[in-house]
Amino acid sequence: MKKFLFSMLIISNTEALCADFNSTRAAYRESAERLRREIDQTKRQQLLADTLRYARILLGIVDGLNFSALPIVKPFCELLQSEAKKIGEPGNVTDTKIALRMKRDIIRLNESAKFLTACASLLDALYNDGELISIIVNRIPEDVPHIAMEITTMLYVIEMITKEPTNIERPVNRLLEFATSAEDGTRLLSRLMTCLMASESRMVIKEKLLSSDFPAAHERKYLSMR
Amino acid sequence: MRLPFLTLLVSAIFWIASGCFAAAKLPDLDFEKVIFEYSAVAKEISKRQISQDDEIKLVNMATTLIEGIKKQINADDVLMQYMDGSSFPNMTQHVNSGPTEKLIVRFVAAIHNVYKILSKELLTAIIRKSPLELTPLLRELCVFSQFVTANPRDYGHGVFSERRGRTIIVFATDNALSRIMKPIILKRLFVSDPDLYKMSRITTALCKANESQKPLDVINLTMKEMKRNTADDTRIPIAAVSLWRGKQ
Repeated sequence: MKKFLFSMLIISNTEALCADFNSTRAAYRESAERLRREIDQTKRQQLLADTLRYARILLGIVDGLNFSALPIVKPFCELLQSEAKKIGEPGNVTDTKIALRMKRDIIRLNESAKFLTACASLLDALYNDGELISIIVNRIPEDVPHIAMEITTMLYVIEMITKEPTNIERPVNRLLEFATSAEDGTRLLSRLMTCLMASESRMVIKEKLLSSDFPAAHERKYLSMR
Repeated sequence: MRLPFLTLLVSAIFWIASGCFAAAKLPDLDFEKVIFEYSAVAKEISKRQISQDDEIKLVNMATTLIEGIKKQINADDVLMQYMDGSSFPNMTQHVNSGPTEKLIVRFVAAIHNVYKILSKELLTAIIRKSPLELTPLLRELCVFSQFVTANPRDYGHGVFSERRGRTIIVFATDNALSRIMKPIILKRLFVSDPDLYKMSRITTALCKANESQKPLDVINLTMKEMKRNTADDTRIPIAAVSLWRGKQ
């Protein structure tokens, strides 16, 4: 009975959280759309403040919190990469099936590490630089819900890492679920994340956003995990 | 004593009549639901080696959808042409169009070719190669059927299509493409992502093909090169912003 009540409590809480995320995302989209159309400067100020407030909620920015994701994620990503190296070279295996499985596992581990590092760098940059969120809302408002989903997925993984730092299966499966949850099984990353995953240096987010040649929507790439 | 009997009799008549009415007018196939179900099953199956039963299940689901589309179009042949009688696609007719409009012309021509060629054998071959690859293709075919059967009165004035016996002639002019196809694409294809749609790999290949290449050869070559479960970035993208803003 206790177990049942406990599971019901968890389910209702999760639903409440999902509903909250969905309603905030809807409110953000509506506010951003109204801001885009509004001409009156006073009304624009109010709408911009609302849009920023919703964006901060969506991106998981909590006022007064001193949070840094990269130190938590980095050792785990190193573990993922070392596990990928341990698998060995698929080219040295004669059995095609085994070689393909090895290749798939290596891609999964490396792509997970790359995605987590990119996400953590972005979240840390958002915490460290208060101006960054305004630039994102100003330059790529339509990307905020996508970035929010990416960051939320990373936060789920962070929760798993803190509980079981050496268990790589659950976090990788969680990322795989995120990557394949789209209708055709391929997740398109946001422009910012595409850019960050392709870039070697993680300290150039702001410059990239402000540059006039910032990638257009069609340059978004897939999270290549299967 | 008579009142309950009469009530029972009247309700029985109503019940039989409503049953007959429902049987006479069967509801149209819910495309969204079928695609969703297909996608869910395909995702599950793509995680493992595809069995004979899996293949049959997916082929049946896809065939149901294709038959539903054909039933909706209700014609033996779909011809596409311009108002002067010349056949579609002819890029000289779209010289003044923007890049997005030109892309839509190639896209419509590609799905038209898929629609003409598609058979149970081809469906089976695609599913065998990659079950998930069919999901975007099915959605594109639904979009095509909606375009072909669109009522111009719902989208504005002007001639759009003509029915001659069991043949539909669609006038795929610039006007029809931007008035009818663009809103349909925006509404039906931007489902998983409100900003960007990437065409299926088969449609992409047909869009990139030369005019001299036969569509079936292009599809066969694509299938040969297709790898199961590959999230490649070679698919042609359509961005929502370019559809809203029109000519760029």
